[in-house]
Amino acid sequence: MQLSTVLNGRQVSLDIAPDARLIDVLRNELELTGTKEGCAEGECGACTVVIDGVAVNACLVLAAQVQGKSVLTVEGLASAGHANALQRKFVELGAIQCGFCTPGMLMSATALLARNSKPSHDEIRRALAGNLCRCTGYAAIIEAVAAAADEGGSAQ
Amino acid sequence: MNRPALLAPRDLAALAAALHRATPDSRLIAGGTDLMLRLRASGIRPDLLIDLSGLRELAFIRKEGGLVRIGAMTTFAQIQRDAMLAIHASCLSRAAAHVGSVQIRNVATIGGNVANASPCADAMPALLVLDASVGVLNRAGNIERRPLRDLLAEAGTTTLGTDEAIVDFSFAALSANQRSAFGKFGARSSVAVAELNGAMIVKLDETQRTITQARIAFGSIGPAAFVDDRVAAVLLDKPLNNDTIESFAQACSGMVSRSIPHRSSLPYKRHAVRGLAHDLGIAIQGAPMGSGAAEGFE
Repeated sequence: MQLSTVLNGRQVSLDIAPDARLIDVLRNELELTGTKEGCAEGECGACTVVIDGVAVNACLVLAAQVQGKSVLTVEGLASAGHANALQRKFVELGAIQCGFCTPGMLMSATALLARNSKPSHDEIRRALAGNLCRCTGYAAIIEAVAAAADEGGSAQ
Repeated sequence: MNRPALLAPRDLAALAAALHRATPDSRLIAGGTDLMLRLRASGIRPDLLIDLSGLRELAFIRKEGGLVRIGAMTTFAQIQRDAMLAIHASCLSRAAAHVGSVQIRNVATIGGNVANASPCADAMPALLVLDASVGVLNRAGNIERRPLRDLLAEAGTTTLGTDEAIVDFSFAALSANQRSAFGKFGARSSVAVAELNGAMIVKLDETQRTITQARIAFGSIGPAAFVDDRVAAVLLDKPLNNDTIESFAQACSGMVSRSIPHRSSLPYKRHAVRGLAHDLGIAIQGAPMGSGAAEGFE
């Protein structure tokens, strides 16, 4: 079937299997390998992407369901090769260890900051509850999101 | 490899037409958070997928007089945030807030939760105590109302036909003398599959002291969620206080022994359910967290 969607701000159209998962289309068809597959069952959040403004697990979404919607992946955060404020704070504050959870953390935080520009630490924790960090670097991740919010969210 | 056909109806007439083509091997997909996993785990290849996500008319929350109606494609994020439900169906509000993670709640729907019929589905005990009825669309395009309890069958199955789809839920809004609560017991405080869950509604007399009606439902104990009248009877004509909640907790323990006498999880669950009962009791008393008889475990 033909899938048409706005991906990272650009209109894309491609042929997909009707039962394909969004994560497989992103990684295998579109070669956007920033989105990671961890548990493949909606527990770890490594595959988090933002669809029409809300965070979802790409491993649980039927690709066909993003027809006509807007999909943002971690590749869509930087512009012209420059990391956005949120990404910079992750780097500056050591919120990245092995890095596997980072794309998912960034996307959950992006969805949070888009609807709540000044989240409390508690709100940040709740927004990231569906993202696991096996390195357990949660404290630095929460600080990075809070610092990005202080600088005006994820505005690029 | 055989790929399924995919239909994405945009209105109920198109959905009815799609149901005409459904066979026992076909699947309806709402948010997909359960079905996508089931398809991968089982290796089942449906002949037809009917994608319900384009049915915008089934994503709604309304109060019509004393009746609350919720469309089948309403997400748990929408239910959790709804101010009217927080007052008139607080047990369902709280159940929605306990489903999975933010990412899951953003796509998972109340219709999908019921149709998937997991024994630990969080919406189920809440909808059961609310005595919800379910609007079911058939392939002729007619909508029939059935009590939710009539839909429940064995774990993971419902009595819905392959050519039927849930379109909405409806129940009476809680009145001023009623209070409701939802409780869940899992391996961690969030993003956990329920090992036990339950919901309760009590009605108090005018003095707000004595319980005149009670309705309790439990999930994750046996193959399907259920309403238990024997446990509810313990609360009748009693004051809503910690002593009553303690006898309620003991009755819950007895209920687990009756419900799953041969399960290996019995010794654990008959003890753990006391914690759930106390959580429900605290929530229903409206006491702040951590006060009074907060600990369910000795």
